[in-house]
Amino acid sequence: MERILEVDNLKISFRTQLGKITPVDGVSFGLSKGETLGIVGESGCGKTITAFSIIKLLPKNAFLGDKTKISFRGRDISTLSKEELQKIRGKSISMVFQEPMTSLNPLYTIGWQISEVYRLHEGLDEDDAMKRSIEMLRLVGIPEPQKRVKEFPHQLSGGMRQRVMIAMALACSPELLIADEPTTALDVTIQAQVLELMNELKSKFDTATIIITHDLGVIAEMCDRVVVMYAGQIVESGGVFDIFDKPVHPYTKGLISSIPKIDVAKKDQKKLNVINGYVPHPSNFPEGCRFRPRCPVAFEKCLQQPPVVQIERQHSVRCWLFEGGDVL
Amino acid sequence: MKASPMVEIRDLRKWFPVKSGFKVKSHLKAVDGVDLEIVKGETLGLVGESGCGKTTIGRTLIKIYQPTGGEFFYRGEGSPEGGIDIFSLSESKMRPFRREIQMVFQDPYASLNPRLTVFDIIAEGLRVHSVGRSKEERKTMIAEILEKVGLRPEYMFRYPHEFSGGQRQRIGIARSIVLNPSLVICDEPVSALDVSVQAQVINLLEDLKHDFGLTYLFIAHDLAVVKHICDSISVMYLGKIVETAETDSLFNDPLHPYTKGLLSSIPIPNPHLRSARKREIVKGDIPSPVDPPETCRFVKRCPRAFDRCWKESPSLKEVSEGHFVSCFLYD
Repeated sequence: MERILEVDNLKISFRTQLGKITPVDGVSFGLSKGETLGIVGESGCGKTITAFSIIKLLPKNAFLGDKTKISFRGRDISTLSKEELQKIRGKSISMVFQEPMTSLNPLYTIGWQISEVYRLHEGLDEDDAMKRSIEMLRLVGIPEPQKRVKEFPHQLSGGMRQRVMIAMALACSPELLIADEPTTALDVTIQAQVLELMNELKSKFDTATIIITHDLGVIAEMCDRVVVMYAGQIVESGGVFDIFDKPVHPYTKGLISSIPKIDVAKKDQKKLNVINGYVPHPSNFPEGCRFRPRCPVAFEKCLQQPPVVQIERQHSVRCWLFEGGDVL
Repeated sequence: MKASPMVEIRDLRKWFPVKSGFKVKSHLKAVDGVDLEIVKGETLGLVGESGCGKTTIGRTLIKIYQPTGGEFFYRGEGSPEGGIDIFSLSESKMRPFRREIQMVFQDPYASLNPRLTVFDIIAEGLRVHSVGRSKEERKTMIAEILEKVGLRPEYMFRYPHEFSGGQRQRIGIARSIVLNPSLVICDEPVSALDVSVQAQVINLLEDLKHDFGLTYLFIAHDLAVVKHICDSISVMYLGKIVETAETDSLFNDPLHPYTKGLLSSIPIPNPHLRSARKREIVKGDIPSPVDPPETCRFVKRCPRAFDRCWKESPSLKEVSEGHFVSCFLYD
């Protein structure tokens, strides 16, 4: 399969008043054409800035590590200038953000905002761009698109706005779509509509997709491969069935068994498994294995950085329990 | 098993006036004719999507909002035989019941006063209800309750900002439990928390229920959480209850088209079920609750609507034992 994206040794640091903090360190993953990768983790694990860093949507005080390489179709894009990035953003790589209200401009009609993509990246004139926008809105299931293009974001419901975001993101048939918690702000019936739409469009355009979410349900519905992040590192990655059927990292196991099981009858439900303690802040990640203070099976060795071990093809884990396997 | 329910809510209504200038133009009918019953020692889940009125019910029950109409019969400690209508009581007569009926709020950041210490936050209720004779006695009580909810008693003199979201929610729970209530209204108590912390708080709520013999009204939108914690569930849509049943009965045999759509919309964390599931996706958005028409509230999104649904509004009827639904399909 054609390789679209390769992120190698991603390290993101911030200069802050309290000194340098490094919320993401040593993250590597890749993505092929048509594949959907899920990045899952709790708040503060670094999943959102990991995805944002791919197209450099980072605050001014952020910088990438020296060894970090982000290659998109074989070309290193971590060192591109702003102008060169501009040509990629929205055309080859585009994003769907979490909050559809704050990520659309309230002062312009949605038709204008979608057609901007066509004007910038395909050089269309206003009329043609608007026609293409109407087509795109129809494709994402917005009723009466000719009328809707003249409306402003506040006139649409949350689900409709998210459809507009998706229309905008897919306008130029990007090769890579990054969706940051695309359905978190939506109600469950609307979430189901949007997820179904994303699945339909994915099979239509064969777009490589990264979905960032904290919801393991969304991961199970949508993804082919999963990356589990904890405290700025990938603790486990593998195929979606590997992760749900035979998770190996104590954090992944704990995470999966701490969600209430909706597919189990009430009378058969057991007490929820609990991961003790709380997620650490990037300014004081624990030494050695970062999950150690909360880990039920931690031992002496965990005071040192654990190795990343491959336990099966495509299934790897960062944990001392699997020492002796093939170190990646 | 038909015990007289501890909580019996009849035809609860809460309308908010929508003003234009000084004139009341119309009403936002957030809660419009809701019946609920909760048996002592059980947990009733109240589920629905945003804007359906579930939070308004919780707040109206403890009179944060004045009810527009309806009755709230309470049969717990201190109430006469046959119960007492909380809504008919004056503020001073209601005070003892405020201790009996406590609330846990959704947002662990907004619901704790940032300028008070944990001790002050929890002691306020004790002082108001004259529990504990001296500060020392209250201090002991607070230390005990903090331990009970899984916080160190030494934390008593810290401020809310020194705690994480999960710890704050524990403080909020301690504040309501310390008064030894009978009924606790939990308004989305875990939805602001991360998955691993959410499980801690759910287990805590279950332990407390067991240890203190509490009765919960559990308001939430996450159906997996509700299934785990609740004995029975009421599903709300646009100000009305569309279906009430015991938990397993609701999940195994949902009757109302909205409940069916809602249940099949939930993403299940099991990739094997991905293709096997038959999904009935509910189309469209939730309509506005301002002056809703006198039809079935779900009619515009319902895949099985027929003539009658557009003409009149159905009411909640028992179709099998303990399973109530408000839909003409089952009339």
